[in-house]
This record gives sequence, C-alpha cells and structure tokens, in this order.
Amino acid sequence: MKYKSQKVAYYFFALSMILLVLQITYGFIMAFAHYGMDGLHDIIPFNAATATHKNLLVVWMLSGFMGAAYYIIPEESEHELVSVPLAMVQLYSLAAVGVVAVIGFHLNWWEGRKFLEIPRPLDYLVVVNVLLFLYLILMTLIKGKKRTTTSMVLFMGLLFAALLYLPGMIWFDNQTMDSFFRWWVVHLWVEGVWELIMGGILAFLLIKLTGVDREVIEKWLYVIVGLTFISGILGTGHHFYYIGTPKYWLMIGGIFSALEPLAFLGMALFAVAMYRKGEKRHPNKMAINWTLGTAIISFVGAGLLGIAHTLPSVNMWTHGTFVTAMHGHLAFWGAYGMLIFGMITYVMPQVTGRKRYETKMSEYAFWLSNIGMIAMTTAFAAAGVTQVYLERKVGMDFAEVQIAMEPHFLMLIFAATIFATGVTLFIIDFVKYGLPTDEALETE
Amino acid sequence: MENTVISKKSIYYPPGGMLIWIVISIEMLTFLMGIAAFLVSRNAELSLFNESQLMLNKTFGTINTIVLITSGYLVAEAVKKLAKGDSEKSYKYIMWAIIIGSLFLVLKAIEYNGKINLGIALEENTFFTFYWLLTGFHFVHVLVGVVILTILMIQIKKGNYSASDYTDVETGASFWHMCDLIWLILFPILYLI
Repeated sequence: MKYKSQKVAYYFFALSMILLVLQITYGFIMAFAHYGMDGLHDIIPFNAATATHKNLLVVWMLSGFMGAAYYIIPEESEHELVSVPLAMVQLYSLAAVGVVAVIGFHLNWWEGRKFLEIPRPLDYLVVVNVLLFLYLILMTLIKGKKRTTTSMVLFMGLLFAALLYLPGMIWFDNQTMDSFFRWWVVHLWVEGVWELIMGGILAFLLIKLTGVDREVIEKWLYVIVGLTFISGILGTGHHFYYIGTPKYWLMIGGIFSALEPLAFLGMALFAVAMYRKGEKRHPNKMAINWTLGTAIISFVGAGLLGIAHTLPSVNMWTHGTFVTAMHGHLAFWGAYGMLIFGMITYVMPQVTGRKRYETKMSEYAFWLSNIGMIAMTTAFAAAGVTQVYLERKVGMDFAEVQIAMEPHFLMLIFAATIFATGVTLFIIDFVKYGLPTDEALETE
Repeated sequence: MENTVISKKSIYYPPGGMLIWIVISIEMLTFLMGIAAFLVSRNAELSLFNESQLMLNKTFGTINTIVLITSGYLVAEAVKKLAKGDSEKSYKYIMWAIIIGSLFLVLKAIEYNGKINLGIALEENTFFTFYWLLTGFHFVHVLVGVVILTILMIQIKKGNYSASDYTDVETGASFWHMCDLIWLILFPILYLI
C-alpha cells in the first residue's frame, strides 16, 4: 500500500463478502426448493429468492469493483483519494440501499423485471450513490500526477457501466421495448463494459504480480479487451430475437457472440504467457492463482459454455432453461467472481501489512470453490439438457418436467456445498488478516 | 535502400505492426462468417435470393469496385513515396485516395437511398437483411478508413513522418486494403453469383 486512503478498499471488499454469503444462502434456498423441499415458501417465496439471489450478485460484484477502483486509482494516479469520509458515506449508503431492497423483495415491493427488480425510488438512490463514487474516482484521477492506460480503462468501464444503468429506468408501455432496454443494463454490462473493468483490474494485477513491463501488458491486454468489448456489444443481440425484436438479430447476435470466445481465449493465453515471461514474480502466489484462474475460467465459462448454446439453431431449444443457468454461473464466477477474489487476495496483505501468502486455508479455498463451481455447472448442464429434452422435444408439461428434474438438484446441492465451503474458507482467511492499518504503508 | 538492417523485428513484424494484422484477421473472420451464413440461407431460399439479387444495381457495384481498387493503389503509392522520403508526393497520393474513397461512400449512399425509396428495408426478406447488414458493416469500415486516411494525410502534411518512421501510414494503409479486400469478396457474392 502506498497511500493511506487505499484502506477504503478493505471495507468495500468486506461488504462484498457479506453480500456474497447472503447470495449463496438464497441460492441454497432455491436449490432446495427445486429439489422439492420448499418449506420456507410462505416466508421466502421463489420469486423473492431468485430476485434476491440475482440482485445480490450484481451488488456484491459492484462493491468489489468499487473496492478495486479505490485501491487501484490512488496507486496508479499517485495521489491520495480526494475524500475518505465521502467514500465511506458511499459505502454505507450502498449497503443501506441493498438492505432496503432485499427486505422489500420479501414484502412484495419490487418490479417484476429480471435483474432490475429493485423499485423505482431505490433506482434513484443507486444513481446518486454511483455518481458520488464516480466523482471521487474522477477527482482523484484529475488531481493525480499520472494518468495510466490502466486507470483510464478502469474509469471508462465504471463510467459506461453507470451510464448503461439508465436505459433500464426508462418507462415503456410495450413489453418488448422494455425488455430490449432492460437487456442493455446487465447484458451490456457483462458482455461489454464490465470487460473494460475486468481488463483494467487484470492489467493491474498482472503488472504487480508478474513483473512484466507495464508497456507490454497495457499494449496487448487492451487490444484483447477491445476485441472482447466490440464483439460483446453486438453479441448481446443473441437474446434479442427471443424477446420480440426482428429476425435479423438472430444473425447479428449469432456471428458476434461466436467471436467472443476467441477474445476470451486470447485473454487466457496472454495471461499465461505473461506469467511465464515474468522474471520478478510477486511472492503472493495465491493472488497469481486467482488471476490466472480468472483468465482461464472466464474462457471456459463465458467463452466456451457461451458458444455452446448461443448459435440460433441451438438457442431456439435451450433459451431460458437451466442450460442458461449452467453458462451464467461459471461465466460470472470465472470472469468477475474470481477476478474480485484475486484482487482481494492481492490487496489484503498490502493494506493490513500481514504477509500471509500461501496459507493452507487460502489454498483450500481456491481449489474447493473452483471444483465446487465446476461441479455445480455440470449439475446445471444435466438438469438443463433434461429440461430441454422433456419439455421442448417430448412436450411434457412444465410442472411435470420440474419434478422429473429433482434428482439433478441433489447433485447441485452437493456441489454447491463444496463451493460454499471454499468460499467460507476464503472469508475466514479474509477475517484472519484483521483490519487495515496505516503501519502497512510502504516507505520508499 | 542500401543501409537496410535485417533485424528480428523487420522479419517477424508485418507491415504496419502486429496489432493491425490481428484486427484484420478478426475482421476477415467476421465477414467470412457473415458470408457463410448468407450462402447457407441462399441454399434454403434459392429463388427468392436470385429474384432479389436482380434488384441490385450492378453498374454502381462495378464502378464502386473500380473506385476502391484505384483508391487502394493510390494509398500503396503514397506509402512507397513516403518510404523514399518524398512526403510532398505522398501527400498528394493520399489526398486523391481519400477523394476517390469518398466517392465510394457517395455512390453507396445513392444506392441505399434508391432502395429506401422503393421501400426495401432491413426486413424486406432474408436476402435484403444480408444485403443491408453485410454492405452496411462494410460501409462503416470504409467510413472509418476515410477518417484514418484523413488523419494520416494531416500528419504527413505536418511532416511528422520520414523515410525511417512511417509505420502509422502502413498501418492505416493495411486497414484500407482490408476494406478493398472485403468488398472484392462481397461484391461478386451479393451482386453477381
């Protein structure tokens, strides 16, 4: 840690971890409900559980990105964050909005729009919150001595992510129009601008961890990220036909989403190449594991499993089934979950001053969470294929198929337990680091 | 050049640098995927595709092909002149390349306008969906190409390049040749076959 204000990152990561625990809890509630054990139905109906699960996913990741930005931007721009108290206000207000939203879902206060269930008044609070965040980051950048490519890409990603939240707030009377612009929010996030954020954080981690020259990493990584980004914007079209837009979206979406795995492959090969090339490797081996892991698993989860069902001739059968859940889980985990875990693993020794590299617990956390998530993905795939076949080929009723799929959810619960164990170990390790301290400042 | 040094870089690096060739490969791949999708759809609706194809303006298409090839030649000459250190001539060549390249955009705009006046839009039929998307994406690339060439022209005028340093111009020229190449594939497949 080079600047005192970088400690703020810790609190955002802590919030991130709390929300992740809640998200996993709600995942379990749903998995049990699918398995047929739906005893909580009266208190937590399925719609409330799924809304909570998905919204918490978005919020814990955003909180993770914000933490990462609060750490990276001061270091890259060589300037203290302009205001630590305001950053803390932003943290608490983000947490407050999240808590109110989650409670609201259980009291039937929500909008029935997937991923954007939070009610309109809270939308405005989110906007104010994100504006405050962007203001703090931007002012730090402006006052800072340096404007590196990495900090600029990270800032642009965060800015565009904020802007893309707005189309989801436009009111439409037409269902298709509403869906079309609603897709812009989370889907243009994950296939588009979040990849800029990913690129920025990944570049930062690779520069710090491998010891390869900044010039090499920035030049190449951003070419790859640019490709992912550009193919992703039009690639988002792979959904549009199914929500009622014209047929030509099938072709645009099909072609451009088929390109996305190539870009992800490039990212994976590049990260591994940089690791091999690096001569001054950082002793924080677990951070390297997570960083390479995110490059590789995002290729598998987002890239390969994406193209596994994005082509129109496949997607016409699988759209909106558990095949999507298969892709969604490994893609989010690989591309963004592991990335945030990598950032946390790198940042923790820096802000607390405790060089606990390579603890047994952190190693188990890495392997169990990854093995668990891959097993979950397999369980979802089996359930999804069953669902597609019985429901859409054989023509069985929706509800009958749900019962026929129950055994797959036992497998899912088993796999999710392994995953949750890994995450729990990660969080215990996180807590063991203790609180950040000014004593961790590096004096040059 | 008598004092050319053969280094690792000059052997392994293609003209304009590695990055532009990665971009070009991916661009080509994308267009080829689009063309493959076109050919598959064409087999499914052969008579519709043949009827629709007759509605395209072959004369404009042919002129545009000549226009792009000419402009490509001029850009290549501009690079050669710059390599010899003659930035005066290079400037003139690249200026004419831009003027002729813009002619492509004008002709294409007239062609598009004609289609729109006939009420033939993106959703007319499968053929015209492909027509609009493939030529439309290509149109955007030519537009970007013209902008790139214009920036290079200004830089050449300012004297920012020399015989030993003109990689940027090669990069821009490579992009421009890619626009030619894509059109040379699109034109026969959409307009003629």
